Amino acid sequence: MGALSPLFLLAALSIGVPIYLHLFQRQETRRLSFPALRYLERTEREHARQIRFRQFLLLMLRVLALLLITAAGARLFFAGRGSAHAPTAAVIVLDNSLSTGLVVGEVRLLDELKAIALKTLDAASDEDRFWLIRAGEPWVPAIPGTATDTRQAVEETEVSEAGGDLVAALERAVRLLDTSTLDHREIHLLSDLQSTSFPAMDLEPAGDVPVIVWTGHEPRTINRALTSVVVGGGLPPLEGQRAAVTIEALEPTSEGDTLHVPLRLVVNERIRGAATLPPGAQTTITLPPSGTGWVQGYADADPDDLRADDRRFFAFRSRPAPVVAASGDPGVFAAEALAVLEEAERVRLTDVSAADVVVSANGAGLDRSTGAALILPPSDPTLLPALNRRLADAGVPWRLEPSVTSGEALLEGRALPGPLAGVRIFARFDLTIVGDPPAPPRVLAEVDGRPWAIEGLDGNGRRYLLLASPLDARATSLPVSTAMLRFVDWATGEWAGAGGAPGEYVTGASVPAPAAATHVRFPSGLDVEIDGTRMVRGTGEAGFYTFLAGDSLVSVLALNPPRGESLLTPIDPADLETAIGREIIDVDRDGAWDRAVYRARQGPELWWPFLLAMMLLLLGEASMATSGPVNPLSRRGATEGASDGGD
Amino acid sequence: MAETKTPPRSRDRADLLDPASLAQLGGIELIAREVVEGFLMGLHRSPHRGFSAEYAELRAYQAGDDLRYIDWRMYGRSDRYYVKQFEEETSLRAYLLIDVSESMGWSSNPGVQVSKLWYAQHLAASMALILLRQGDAVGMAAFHDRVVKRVQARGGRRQFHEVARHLRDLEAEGGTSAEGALRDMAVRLRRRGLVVLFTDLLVSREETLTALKYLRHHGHEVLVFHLVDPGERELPAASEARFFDPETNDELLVSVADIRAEYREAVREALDEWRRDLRPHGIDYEIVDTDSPMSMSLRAYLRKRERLG
Repeated sequence: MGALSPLFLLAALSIGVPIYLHLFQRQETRRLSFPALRYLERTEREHARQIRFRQFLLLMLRVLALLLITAAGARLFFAGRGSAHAPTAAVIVLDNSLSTGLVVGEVRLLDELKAIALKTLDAASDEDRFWLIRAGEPWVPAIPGTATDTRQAVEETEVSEAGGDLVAALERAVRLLDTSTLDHREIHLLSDLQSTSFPAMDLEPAGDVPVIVWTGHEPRTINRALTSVVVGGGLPPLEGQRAAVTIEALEPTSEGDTLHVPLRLVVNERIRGAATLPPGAQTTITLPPSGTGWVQGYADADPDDLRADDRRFFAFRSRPAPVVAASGDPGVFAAEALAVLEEAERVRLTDVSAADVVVSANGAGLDRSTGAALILPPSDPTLLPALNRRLADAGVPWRLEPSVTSGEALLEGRALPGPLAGVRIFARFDLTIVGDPPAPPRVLAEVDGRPWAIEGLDGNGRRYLLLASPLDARATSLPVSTAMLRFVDWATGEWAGAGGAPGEYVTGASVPAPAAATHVRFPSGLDVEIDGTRMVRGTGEAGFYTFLAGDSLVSVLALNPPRGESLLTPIDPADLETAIGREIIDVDRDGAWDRAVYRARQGPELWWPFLLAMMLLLLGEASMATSGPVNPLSRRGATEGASDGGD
Repeated sequence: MAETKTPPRSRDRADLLDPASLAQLGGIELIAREVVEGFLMGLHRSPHRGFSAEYAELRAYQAGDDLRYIDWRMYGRSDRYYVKQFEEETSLRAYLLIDVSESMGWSSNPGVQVSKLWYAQHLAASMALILLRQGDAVGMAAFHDRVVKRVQARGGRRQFHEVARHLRDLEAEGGTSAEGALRDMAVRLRRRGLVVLFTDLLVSREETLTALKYLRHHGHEVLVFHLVDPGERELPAASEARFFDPETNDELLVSVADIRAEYREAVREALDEWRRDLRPHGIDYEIVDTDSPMSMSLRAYLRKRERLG
């Protein structure tokens, strides 16, 4: 048995009043002078036992009436029966990540999950509150609403081409439930439970909140998918160069899975090649030289039950090699990277005065440069004053100072360039802004909340990219990683304005907009203005994101689904508890789901029979308390106080 | 107490008024006169004219009456023959015994409902007036545990004032031990006569019965007026109350609703017992509700008087 208004049960304490009066206050009744006491004594003696029994019965009736009022006010109900339930706050975590686009038989997995969610909502009451979290679209706000509101949201849910992070979704669900005033809370997890949807285990993100998990879908592990398309080994080809496009197929997910994947390479709407790949294999298709301009293409495999991961996009700008100059001593790693890029004809080295981009060591050459500058600090802190002086002379509003913090940290930042992802920093200087910059600078990378890579405009309107660490192995892991070459290529090419791939992002990620872009055109053709954060969110579509400045093309970014979405292997049921929370109710049958949700299940509310019973009790009590004919004196209003003469 | 109220009009017979209205008229003598006048007027108009033979001053002529005693003045007024009566004609001595115990002063609704003592005082005064008018000798005594006031039985107009004065001064006090008082009276009343007892009979039944039989044994005619307040027949409207006896101060906690019907039955049985116990001994017993007109009680007296001859 449960109570919808449990606080009202405190009213049951009121039964103490009649009990107290019965036990202790009866001697305080009126004292009436009555000479005919001898008649009364005889009557009273004969009926004393009956009177005591009747008084006890009256007490019981009154106590019972109070308890019934309390029970009615608390809205008691029998638990575990009927279709009604106590008001419940429920978060429906609906996994609409790419993998839920899998078609099993003739039914899409997401539609199966939506049907279950809708059945849940059908059984809801007006007092329930729901949030809908779409695991594949975490950027969509979850707004509390009624079952009707949530039903509409569920029906409008479509498969996202982004990945789903169920751990993050469950943590978010718990935070939402914390805002609810309802006593009964639960999470409904409707997902294919891919193991890759749980990036972290042992976190128990739902904690003690009950999670009803749908495990009834038919598990599928075999999937044909393309997992990557890489152009030029990560360095997009320059104008007039041939480019190798490497395509990789998803590895086999079960023994004996040797079915080859036929695929085609389409570039600028023309098929440039075809191949057949066994699971887990790579193939390389060479593209003919391109002229200057953007090259967009995709690799397309034959469709299977999960269509969304059968195509992967790429885009790059075919451009002339940028003219680069190194000024000062950038260090052996930067110098080597420039040499490699020159040898690969991805840069042309020249004098500072003629260069489009200057790699400036310790601020050298800034006074003579007319192009953009990649400014590298010195390894020796004693050279910082010279650097700061040159920065000030060039109108760069930053100073570098020795850092008081130490230790290893990972580069972070919403606008973190792709080549810097995963780079660790061992030593750095503190960057401090000075003066009044002509345009707000932009932090591209941070270490422990402090800027590490900053871009902006100097006093002469030239672009600069200032790093807080020298490019040597003692300061950062970048020089000794393969990302060094890509970083220098990115800095001298894409960043400096020569164009190129702006980075590698998967669908769902927040993408930094190029500095010149004013809006972005999504693959669906939707144009979205770029806001002050300079980030593009809601990238749930795979395809080309075209950055524009007015009508001018700035950049094209190809977004592909995360590889993990193609791995359909579900999580081991034994790991559910650690991956989700301590209270899990896994349901694998449709009918069982209806009984599992709304755990504060109740039978019909009992307030009306309680009230009815209470009314009957009170009638009985009144009848018993006033049994016997009406005193004629009372009709005349004569007895009250008249007999109190003896008091 | 000054008698300042205006007597009721002839058609408002005082003997038919309820005691509460009667009490508004004035003092005991005035009320007694009004009650008696009204009562006698009712007798004259009633089909029972034969009762007028009891009238002390005049009575209807009967065959064999001495013509010398015919009141010719009344004949002129009423065209009927009346004969004059003489005080010497009767030798009845009546003793009015008033119970003045504490319980007699009780009223279930003071200010509205007269007390039993008030009713007894005025009924006794009215009866005394009738007795005296028909030439009987009237005496009175008041008692509770003992006799507290006594007036010798005499006849004549002055006796009424004497009796009325003593009746007026009575106050309810003390307990009731009727047996002792009645035995005492039996000893004092040397000549046989009519003993009229005004009491609420909230006494020891056996002892009181013994005393009444003792009176009867001494040759007295006994008439008992059992005064009952309506509030004694029905319990008050309280759901639960502590009742106490003003005489003994005994208390009893009672759930009124629980015993109302049983109590009513107990009272009825108690009254029946008194009637059943007194009648075999030739003792007349009349229940007098103190909210009823006095004429009913006076008629009871007349019935008794008629039997005495």
